[in-house]
Amino acid sequence: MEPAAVGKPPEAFLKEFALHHDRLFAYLFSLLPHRPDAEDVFQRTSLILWQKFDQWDPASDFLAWACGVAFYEVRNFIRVASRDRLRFGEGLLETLSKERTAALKQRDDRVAALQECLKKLDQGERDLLQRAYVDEESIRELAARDGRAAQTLYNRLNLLRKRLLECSDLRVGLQGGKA
Amino acid sequence: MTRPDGHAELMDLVAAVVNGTLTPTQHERLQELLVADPDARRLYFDYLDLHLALGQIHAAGRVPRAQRRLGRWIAAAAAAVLFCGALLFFMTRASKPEPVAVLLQSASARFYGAGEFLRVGAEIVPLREYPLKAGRAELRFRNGVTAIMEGPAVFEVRDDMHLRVNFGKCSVHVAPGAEGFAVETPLTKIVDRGTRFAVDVDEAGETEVQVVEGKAEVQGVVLTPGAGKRYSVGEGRDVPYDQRRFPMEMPDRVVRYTTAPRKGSTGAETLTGLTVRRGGRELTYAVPELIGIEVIHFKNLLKNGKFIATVTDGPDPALSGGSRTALLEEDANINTGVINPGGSVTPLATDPVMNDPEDPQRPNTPGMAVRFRKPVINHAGPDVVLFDFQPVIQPEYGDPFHVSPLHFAPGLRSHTVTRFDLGTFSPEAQIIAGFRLNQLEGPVRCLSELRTTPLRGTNFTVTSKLLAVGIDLSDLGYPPGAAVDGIFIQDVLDDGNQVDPVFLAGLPPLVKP
Repeated sequence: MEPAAVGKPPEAFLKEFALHHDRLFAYLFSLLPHRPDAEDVFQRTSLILWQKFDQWDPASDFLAWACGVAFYEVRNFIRVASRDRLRFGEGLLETLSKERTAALKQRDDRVAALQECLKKLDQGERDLLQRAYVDEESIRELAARDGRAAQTLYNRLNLLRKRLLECSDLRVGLQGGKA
Repeated sequence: MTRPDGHAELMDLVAAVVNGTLTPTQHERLQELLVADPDARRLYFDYLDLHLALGQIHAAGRVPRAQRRLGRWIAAAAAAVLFCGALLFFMTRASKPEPVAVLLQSASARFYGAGEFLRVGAEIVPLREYPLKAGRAELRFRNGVTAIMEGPAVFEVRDDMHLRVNFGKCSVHVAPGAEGFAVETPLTKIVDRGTRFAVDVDEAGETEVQVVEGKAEVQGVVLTPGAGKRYSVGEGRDVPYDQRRFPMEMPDRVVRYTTAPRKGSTGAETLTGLTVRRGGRELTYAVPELIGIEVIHFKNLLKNGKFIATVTDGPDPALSGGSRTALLEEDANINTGVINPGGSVTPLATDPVMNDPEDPQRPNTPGMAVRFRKPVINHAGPDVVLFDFQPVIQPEYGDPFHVSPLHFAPGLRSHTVTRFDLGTFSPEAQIIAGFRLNQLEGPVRCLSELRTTPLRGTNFTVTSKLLAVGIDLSDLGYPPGAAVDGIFIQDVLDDGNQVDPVFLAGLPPLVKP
């Protein structure tokens, strides 16, 4: 018998991984809504995917395979995580996993739609997003100093995200015809 | 599409998730909402995606923070190491040889394991156990040996000359030059000395062997055609020869189809061609070669609120003087059709009633009737193909339906299609581009009501696949060579979902090979 890792070139792994790692993270984040947890499991999953890459059938969907591996890691993580951690029940995890894997395919359409919606924002709104997503520590630091000011920022941000979500919905939805 | 107002609370909770401020109480509540409602889950996914996408879009201008971005750096370092490894690898290793065995054909073959979707042409990796849950799969070894496995079965390709069958049925055809090819089972080993044999292994490993052509050798004994033997531990005993119990051939069916995508999207929009196995021959047709249809009757009495619908790609065609039934009749667009045709639990045994308007004394038959633009000739295998859109969350084998003759005559009967040839799990079933779902605002009793009842439209956003099934007119009792002018279709009303025809056509007459 040959050693396990002989079948596929590592380059193939890098290619698939680069192509799909954003979606894989999106998958994990929806199962583990506490971001540091999701990052933790993402890290572990990445390594395992690399180790098990030889078991992946190139004719099958890499993302689906990766999500399968990731799901197993999520369950492992939840089993050993301390009781006070925020986590979903087994049934919900399974449902989310199944529906999420299917929904990831449409994610690109939504990202494209979002990009269009961003073009319509005014300068103040752009600054707000800049603050939240580029200097992402600044709101946290603000929250530590002045909780109320931070809450105001969060509220504005939440409203803006809601608007962007509705705008994306509309753009994605409108592909099918006039509403 | 607008998000229902009821989701305001959910929206706040998901915002707390992405802001990193979710409290344990909020987490509880979030879980409750997600468990209860698929729409809530969709919103949750979309909101998270929005947040992640905003992060990516702004990532260009971001300075990595040492601690938070540690993960990325590890990934980058790993990538660098891997890349060096890749270079080394290519410098020292030749390109990959032809695989020992590949999946040559699949008929609703379902392999066990998450995401284990094997596409036709995929490698069957040696020394890996493949549990085939259902359907048939044909393997081809690089030395020309072919084996048809029938699920449920568990098998493993050991090398060029050995197939291990731990459970289930298979038939093996050994190409010249590969004599000596062996099927191993838990209790015995069958060595080919000729061309064709079949094997059935039960849970205890007991093995039945049937020789169809040539010879096969089991435990030193040579079996000749027509021989059937059953082996447990020790001697074999004779069993009746019956090759019908074995998967000797791949079934006639819709094998695959081709589509064109919608511009600027990855989803399929137009059917361009299909490949059908008819009487053991694989034939490929372009859509214009197929025999078109005309909808001549439609009745669905399900109450308001249920889906009674036509699918369109845009506004209701009736608003601009067009025809709704043309959505199924005139085009190869698979985002359009006339769906949810109504039905009956019991299949028809007499001629359907199809008056327009409906005669209150003699109510019309629920369902949909179509007439072929020219008669379809009954041959072996599928004669008519039906394509259906199926949300991936609905039954994976498609929605069952009855097919009946338009005019009953002695010998003719209804036939129930319970499984599509290409189900949602088939890698060959493609994802459909988004479409608009129009619901009729009232019950429809006849064709003219289908044309005039007001429609209410919504955009349909659940990922849906295009399923396909071949209908064999012989199953309706038509003799070979019969010319058939139309069929009647009824959902079997087994659940809330009805069959959704988006493309329906007859196959052209077979030309003798």
